[in-house]
Amino acid sequence: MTSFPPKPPQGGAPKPWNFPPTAVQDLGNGLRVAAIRIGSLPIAQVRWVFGSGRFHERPDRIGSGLLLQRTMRHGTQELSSSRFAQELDRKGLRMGGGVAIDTSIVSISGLIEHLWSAVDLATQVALTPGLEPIAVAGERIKVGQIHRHGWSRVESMVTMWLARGLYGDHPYGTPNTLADGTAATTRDDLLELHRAIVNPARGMVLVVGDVDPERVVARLADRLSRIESAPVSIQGIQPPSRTPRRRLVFIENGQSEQACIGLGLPAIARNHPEYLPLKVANQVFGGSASSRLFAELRDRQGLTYGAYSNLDCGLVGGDTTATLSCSPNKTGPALMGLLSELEAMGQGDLKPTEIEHAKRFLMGSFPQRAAGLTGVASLVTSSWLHGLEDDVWMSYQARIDGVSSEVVQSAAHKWFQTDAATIVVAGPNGALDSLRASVQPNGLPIEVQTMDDLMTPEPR
Amino acid sequence: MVDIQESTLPNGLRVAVQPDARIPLVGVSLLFDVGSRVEAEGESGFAHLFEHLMFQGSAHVGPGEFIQGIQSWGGTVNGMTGKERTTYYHSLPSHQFALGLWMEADRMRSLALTEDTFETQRATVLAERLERVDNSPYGQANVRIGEISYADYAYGHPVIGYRKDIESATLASAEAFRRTWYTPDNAVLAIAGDVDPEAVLDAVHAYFGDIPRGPSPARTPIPDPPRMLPVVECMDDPKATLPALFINHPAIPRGNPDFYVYEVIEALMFRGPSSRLYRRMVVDERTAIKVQGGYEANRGPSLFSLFAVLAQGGDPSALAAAYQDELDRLTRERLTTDELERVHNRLRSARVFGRQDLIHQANSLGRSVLYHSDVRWEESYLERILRVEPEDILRVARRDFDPNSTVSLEVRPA
Repeated sequence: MTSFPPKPPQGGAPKPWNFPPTAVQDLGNGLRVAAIRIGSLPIAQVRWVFGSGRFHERPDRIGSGLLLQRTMRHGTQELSSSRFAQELDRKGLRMGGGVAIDTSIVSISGLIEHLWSAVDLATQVALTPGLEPIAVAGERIKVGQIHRHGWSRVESMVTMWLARGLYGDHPYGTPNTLADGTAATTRDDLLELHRAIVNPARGMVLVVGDVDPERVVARLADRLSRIESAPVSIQGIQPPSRTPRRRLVFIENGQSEQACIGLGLPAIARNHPEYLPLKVANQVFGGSASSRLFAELRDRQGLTYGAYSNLDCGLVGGDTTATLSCSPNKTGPALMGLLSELEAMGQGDLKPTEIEHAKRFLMGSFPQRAAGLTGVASLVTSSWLHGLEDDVWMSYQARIDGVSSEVVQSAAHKWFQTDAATIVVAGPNGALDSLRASVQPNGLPIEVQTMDDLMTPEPR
Repeated sequence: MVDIQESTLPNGLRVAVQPDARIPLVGVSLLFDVGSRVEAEGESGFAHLFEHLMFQGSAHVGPGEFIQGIQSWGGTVNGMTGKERTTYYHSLPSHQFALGLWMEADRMRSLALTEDTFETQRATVLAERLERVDNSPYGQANVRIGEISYADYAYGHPVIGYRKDIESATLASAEAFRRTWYTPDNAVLAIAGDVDPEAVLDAVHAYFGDIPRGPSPARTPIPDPPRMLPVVECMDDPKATLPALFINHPAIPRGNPDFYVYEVIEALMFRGPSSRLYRRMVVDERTAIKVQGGYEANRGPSLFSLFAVLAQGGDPSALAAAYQDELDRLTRERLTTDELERVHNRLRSARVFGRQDLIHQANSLGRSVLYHSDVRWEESYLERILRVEPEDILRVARRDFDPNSTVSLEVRPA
């Protein structure tokens, strides 16, 4: 028996791995069909994707996107809700997707032997959903309840106020439900929204799984080339125009025994050239449990159960947000800790070893992102939606590897500035007391707001 | 047949390796046969608190360096504590498989426990409890339904523990807990991924082989499944915006041959858009906005449970009656071939999809060894599910779903 080695093993050479190629065909009706083969498990996913979404909601129908998303799961014009559910379960199929601000997805996954049933069902759901009045009525009640639940939780209060603070009246700043909008939405409103979103001319159908991509693409083309497209609207989502101002908002929630702190910074659209350096910088800041926020605020100071940041880049804009929850009496110290970490990032105070670890995390975790159907489908559809290079995923690891420390420092300095931060805290009054004790001596005025103020137009 | 290598080290550590070369990754799961059920009154939450301490450093790995070591290669890492087991899992690029094993072995042999890290993790666990229980809708109700469903404290108290017990936990207890339970003969190490099983077993022998056996702890006896009396309780929840209802029946334990019948009943009632309870309560009658539950299988006392969030103004007693009606239906109506086919396909599909994730595979392999002493248990699962006949459902439902042995808890928004 050998004694335990005091140094960690070095490991051998990494095994070669490449993101698989995608077979693609653009049809005459504007629809893109694509397929990609992964793994050896006998499963597949079909996904319809449209580069449009909730930004088509009427201002007095906020919430109709979520209602549409939920009602689309209740069958098609051919299959009633009950028959549709039985058809899914009979073949062991599972449905996913959603209507986001600038993207809408319908996906169905299952065993490979049922791939073409999945294609047919997903196509029916995407193009000819049932939207039966009884389903609309049932889902309207549920969306109303989701709204009440969301608006009563400190975490979602912070999320909504951060979006509002960063984007104002832009669709990215709009909450996904408003009570009046949901209550007023009719089946006709849903049909109108569906027509606005679902246009094959700006759509893609992707199959991922244990398939022959070329054969699948040919068969998809054969099935889908006769679908009619509406003329493509030139009115896409516009980039956000406002520059967020530095502010600290407090929303009182007397029911909560916890405070939630959110910090938002303006960032970039997904196709921006600084995306990768900023992704690395965010990884250093709070991208995982080995990042600064978690190590400092949880593991060193015990202020919170978890503290993370997220870089979210959309079609026309993006943001970095960091959130944590804590005991109300620790709100002030937790916010000061968060701001201290932000300040260090803004000063470009990133060690080369941290940057190397962050890059290695992003490179090493990439095969894991691509290990499942949904991960691969998300990557492929994302590159299409954002107009990224054809080889973006095949070269992703090499591109991350090529990001220099200097450009990461520069991105951190540019995009992690305390002066650009929107800070939102929601919690009971004890949290406000803690904030006042810690923050006001540092010169940040606290704006006390309510959820009712969320949609109030702000002074320009 | 899947190629699985297994070995038991002289110190009692059981090891299973399942090669899977789909992607150059490895998933590792280290399971300790200890959970909250070993905690005596006044010690609740200790197994979970100890799980946090396991990430706070060992002789050759500093505080926080375990997570950093895994994540600096892009891996995933975490731990989870249950009533009967505590699991530590991670993934890594497969060429770094030895790094994870080396760090696991280091903390099994030389966990560093200090007052500082103990206090920080106590604070972290209290913050976790605040988030998951105190400030969570139905969080307190989840604790209460456990207390009134299990006859004995071992299974009835919450895994995360009571606040006062967490506050009074001591570092000395942590050291004793480690010596008693965190020993190789009380653990299973499962590895799945793009690895050479021989190389993995060599590394396991090299890193874990000289860790001494434990003191053969006096096992907390597993009590018999309780026969529950009818209990009906109500509580107010200021965090909830909608009423909710919990209903539990006692169920057979994991090792019982009817385990697979319960799996089928769970899928029939709760899984998929055509499942009976979802269809009836959420879609057709719209009495609930969410229905979940199923078979909570333990080696010891186990449950078949329902948790439903009612629609605004919904009547809990009407929902309870509808649930009982569906259970009664199981006792009188033979399952149709079509329904049985749907259940089989849902379960089959879920099993295949689970294999996409190597950590999931490793956890599943580890549970197969821990609970069934059979590395091929997972492989035989579907075959055994297919053997469940409609008559089995009738028999088990008639035997077990006694309306006079339920525990129910109604939650009212305050």
